[in-house]
This record gives sequence, C-alpha cells and structure tokens, in this order.
Amino acid sequence: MRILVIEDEQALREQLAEQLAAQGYVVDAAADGEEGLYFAREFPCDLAIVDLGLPGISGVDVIRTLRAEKAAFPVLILTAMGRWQDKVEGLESGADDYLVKPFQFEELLARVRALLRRAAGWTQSTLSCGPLALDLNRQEVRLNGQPVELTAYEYRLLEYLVMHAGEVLSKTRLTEQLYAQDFERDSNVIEVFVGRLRKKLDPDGSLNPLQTVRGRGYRFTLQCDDRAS
Amino acid sequence: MSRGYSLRWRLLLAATLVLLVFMVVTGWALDRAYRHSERLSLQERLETRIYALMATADLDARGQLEMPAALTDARFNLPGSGRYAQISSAGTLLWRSPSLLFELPLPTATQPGRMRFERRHWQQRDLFLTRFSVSWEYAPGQERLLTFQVAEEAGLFLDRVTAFRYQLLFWLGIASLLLLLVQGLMLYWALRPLVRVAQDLGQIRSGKRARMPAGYPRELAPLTDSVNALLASQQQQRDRYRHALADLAHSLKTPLAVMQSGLQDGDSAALSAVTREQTARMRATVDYHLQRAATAGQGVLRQSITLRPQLQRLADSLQKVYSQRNIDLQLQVEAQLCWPVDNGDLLELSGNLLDNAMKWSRSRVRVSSEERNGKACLVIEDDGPGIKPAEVDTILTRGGRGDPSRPGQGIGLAVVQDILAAYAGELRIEVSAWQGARFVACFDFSGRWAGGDSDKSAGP
Repeated sequence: MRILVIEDEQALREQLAEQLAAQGYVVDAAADGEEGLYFAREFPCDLAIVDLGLPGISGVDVIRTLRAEKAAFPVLILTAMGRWQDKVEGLESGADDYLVKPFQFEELLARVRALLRRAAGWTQSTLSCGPLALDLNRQEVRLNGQPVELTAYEYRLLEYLVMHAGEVLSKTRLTEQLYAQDFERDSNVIEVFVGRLRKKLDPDGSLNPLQTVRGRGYRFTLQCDDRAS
Repeated sequence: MSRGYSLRWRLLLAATLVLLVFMVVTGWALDRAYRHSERLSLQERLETRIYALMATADLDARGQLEMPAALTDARFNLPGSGRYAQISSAGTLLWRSPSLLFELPLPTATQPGRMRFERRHWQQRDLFLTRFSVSWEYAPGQERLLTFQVAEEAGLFLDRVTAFRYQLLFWLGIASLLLLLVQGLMLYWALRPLVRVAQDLGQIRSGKRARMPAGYPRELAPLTDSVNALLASQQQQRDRYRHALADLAHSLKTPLAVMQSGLQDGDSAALSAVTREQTARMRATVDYHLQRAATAGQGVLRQSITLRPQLQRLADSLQKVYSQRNIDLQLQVEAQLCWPVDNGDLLELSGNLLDNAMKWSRSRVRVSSEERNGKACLVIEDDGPGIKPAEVDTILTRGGRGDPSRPGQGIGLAVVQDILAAYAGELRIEVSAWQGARFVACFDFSGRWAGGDSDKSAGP
C-alpha cells in the first residue's frame, strides 16, 4: 500500500513517514501542495494524508485538484483547528475523514487502515477467505486456524493481493506497492515472493490461492466472505 | 476621506428656497392687489368727478350749455394739471376744462346711461378716461344728448404704484433677511444633537468616554442605543478572550507542574505515562479555551443565516466520516428557517451534538427544530443507549474550570453549553422517541442581549 503524506512541518512529516513505513506502507512524503500533487500524479497512491494548513496551495485546494483529476483514493485530513467549520470545509472539498492535531499515531493508523479497507470494499478488519484468515490490524495470517510465519514483504504482498481479491495485478503494480522509488527493483523479486507464499500457504498444492496469469500478472483466487460491493 | 453632503446646508438651502419663493409670490400678489385697488379707486374718483361735472352743468332754455368759469375742483382749472374734463354733444365739442389744452377723443356712438371707463394712449399721453352720456331735457319735449368726459393722466397712478412697489421690495427684503437669520439660528439649534453625537463619538474613539450619554432626541435614540450595544458587545468579546486566556494559562500550569515533578522523580516509565496523560489534558484544555474564545456570541447587528444548508453540509460531512455505519440521518428543518446566530457558532454547536449522536446511535439520528417558550431550539436525537437520568446532571456540569479529568470527553458538550450561554440559551437532555438520547439546544433571540457569559462556564 502506498501512502502520500503532505505536511509542511518537517518533524511531523518525517515522524509520520517513519512510523508508517514501520507499519509496512510505502510512503511518499511531500512538504507542500505542489510537491504533493506531483507525487500523486507520478505514483499510484492508495491513500493520501493532507495537512490543511499548508503554505502556498492550501490543503483544501490540493484535495479539490486531486478530485478534479479523478483521483479516487481516500484522503485523510490533518487539522490544527478543532472547529467544525474547518472540518466540514475539508470534508466537503473531497476528504473522507479528519484528524485533529495533536493526535496519537495509533489513532491515525486505525483511521488509515479503516479508510484503506473501505476503499477496497471491505467492512471488517479480519478477512476470511476459505481456510485463510488475514487480521489486518495485527498483520497476522492464519491457515486453518494455525498462524503462518511471513516476512514483512511477504505479508505486504499477500495483503495487497487479498485486498484486491479477484483482480489481476501486474508485476509493476505489485513492485510499486513494496518498494518506494529510491529502492532498486529487480523484476524477479515478485516471482520469488509469490513462490515463497505458495509454499507457505499451500504446502500440498491443493488450494492454489495465487494464480499466475501469463503476461499480465497475479491474482488471488480464493472467495472471501463479507466483501462489500 | 470624503465628507459627503452636509445635512445643515441641505436644510438651509431648502428653507432658503422656500422662503424666497414665498417672498416672491407674496410680493407679486401684493403688488397686483394694490394696483388693482388703486385702479378701482381711480375709477371711482373719475365717476365722482363726472357726477360733479353734471351737477355744475346746465342747459338754458335754448339748449345751450352753461358752465361756470371755474370749477370747484381746482385741478380742472389749472392748465397742465393732468386732470381734464370735456363735454360734447353728438360729436361736437361744447366745453373743455381750463386744464384741457387739447381735445379728448370725441365719442361717436354713444349709449346714454352707461359709464365707460378705459385707459388709452391719446396724442402721446397715457390717460384714464371715463365718459357718461345723458339725455338732458332743457324744455318740455326738447332733449339734448350730452356726453360728459373726465380724464386723468396715468402718471400719478403709476407713481403711486411704483412707490408702493419700492416700499414692498424694501420691507420684504428686510423681512427675508431677518427670516434667513432666524432660520439659520433655528437650524443650528435643531441640529445641535447631531453635532453632539459626532462629538461624543469622537470622545469614545479617543477613549475619554465609554458610552453614549442619554438625553438624545427620540429620532436619534435607535442610533445611539445601537452604538452603546455595539460597544458593550465588543467589550464582552474582549472580556471573553481575556478570561479564556487567563483560564487557559491557569489550567495549563497544573499539568505542567505535575510533569515537572515527574521529571524530578526520575522514574522513566512512570514519567512517560504521566507525560502522556498530562499532555492529553493540556491538549484538551487548550482546545476548550480556544473554542470559548472563538465563540462569537450574539451580536447587536447580526444577520440571520438559513439553517438548513449549513446543517446539510454538516450532515453530509459526518455521513462521510461514519459511512461504514450506514446511519439513517434525517434532517427535518424547514428550508426557510433563519436564525440570528454566527455561522461558526452554529456549526460548532451542531457539529459536536451531531457527532456525539452519530457515535452513539445504533442506526438512526434525527435533527429537527422547535419552539419552546419563545426560544428557538435545535433538537438532535438518536436511537442509541441514551443517558441515564442520574448522569444527566453530571454531564451538564462536568468538572470544574480547567480540570479535565477525562480528556477528550465532555469538551464537546461544555463547548455547546458555552455557546448557548453566549446567546442566553440552554441545553436540555431528554429521552428520544427511540429510547435514545435527545439533546435540545435552545437559543433566546428575544429582545436585546444584555448579559455576558464569561463567568459561568461548564468547562472541563
């Protein structure tokens, strides 16, 4: 999952980027509206966190521009003003949720996860897909009730595939979910991870949760409960 | 800075014009009346002369006119006196008065018994003429038609009229000047209150005065009363800010002190717990007092806002935030309903109440308006667990000033109550139709807002 953070206060921005990365997200951090819009256009964002009190282009205008350019990802606004007038204005411009500064990181994380789930069409934080169960909050995977040990990258890849269950996801898209632009990308890396996931999730080969679609990418094939439209 | 037009000059100009028009019309009317009167006088005089003339004239037995050498009216005897008499018969001149050195126009067609009066230019003279024809019996069966004529030069008449006119102009002129002077004084006196208003405002601006004094004329009362109300409102706002800042400073000192003593103790695990707790408390305090300071409250010259669109914005925003809950949010407020509240205050109040309602509801929230005892009330109800009667009091008077025991909770309601207090209103908690909570926020918009709110706050 790729998150765009637009926050002019350096300390907060770096802290957020660090904390979100530690949770397994790829973070693009921008210091003002212009940079933020550039990132949004260049990279596939799954969610944006926008501070309302930006210098130059205001947060509200950034969100309006994003929506006008048909960006459909959820937006969480950060505001120092607790007044409802400002919250309403931010939400009206196209945001989906708000958080008043100062906030606890845990709260931000919870809202981010909720927004990402909603955007992918999920209403619960635990996804059950046949024998597989994913706890998005704890970032744990269980097969038939037994926990499965996954590395951070493996989990992230699996989570993304499951959240978009049924969709064919290209290698490029999957790579962008795992690595920020600065990291070197090896086109083989996805295949390696998929291979490892298959071994761990489907040891006897009967389940076939991850399907390779030749020339197009990969797809999570299992049916999951409770997927909202 | 443009001064605009002057009230005083306007009034003066209008009054002067009216005065002048009046004087001119009066003068003209008087002049005409006098002239007419003089002319009638003249006419009567001439007629009298004709009768006098007829009295002195006599026809002898042969019908010859006999006239005395001198007439009683001396002016008929003096040549060039301007007063003339002539007697003629059937176009033949019979007698002229000694004053008449020429001939008056001889009438041709004459009608006996009728007095004719006219003004005529004759031989380069401006004359008033009267003639009277009479059939005179001088012997039994013998009659002669005599025409008596009396004339006066218009010069005398004109002199009199002109003299009157000059007198009239002179005295009317003096009267006009006097009236203008009196007018000026009257305007000065009548407009003194306006000058006073300007002076008093100047004193208020320079700080020598705090209010507009009483004793203004009725017409200015709305203006001066409004100025006073505005000043009072400004003062209340300043007080509100001052109190909020003072309370804020005071309330922050306690958590800071607690953290400081924690630092001194040096126990790092306990310290981080204490720090967390106290910073949360400080945050709640800052939020609360900032909200209090930002409350606009009831102003004197407040424009009304239409409630429904603002509440709709709020409802839409909250539905977004709580979208996964699928709450049925009904907005039952008339489209036309307007209240004289500040937009920020309305959003703050409704935002807090509606957010609470959405948080606690199971699936239904309703926003409506009603009137209770002349107060305008906003009603927000939900179908959640509701609030136990015993807790109602606690919620409404949560904590003392500057002491948030549970940061993050209760600030919303405290702010709601503060805002209502600024409008002389109140908050009530009741049971909704669905056994949930029903919050009724009532505003008192009647009459002039006269009190402040700052000292009674239900702060966290």
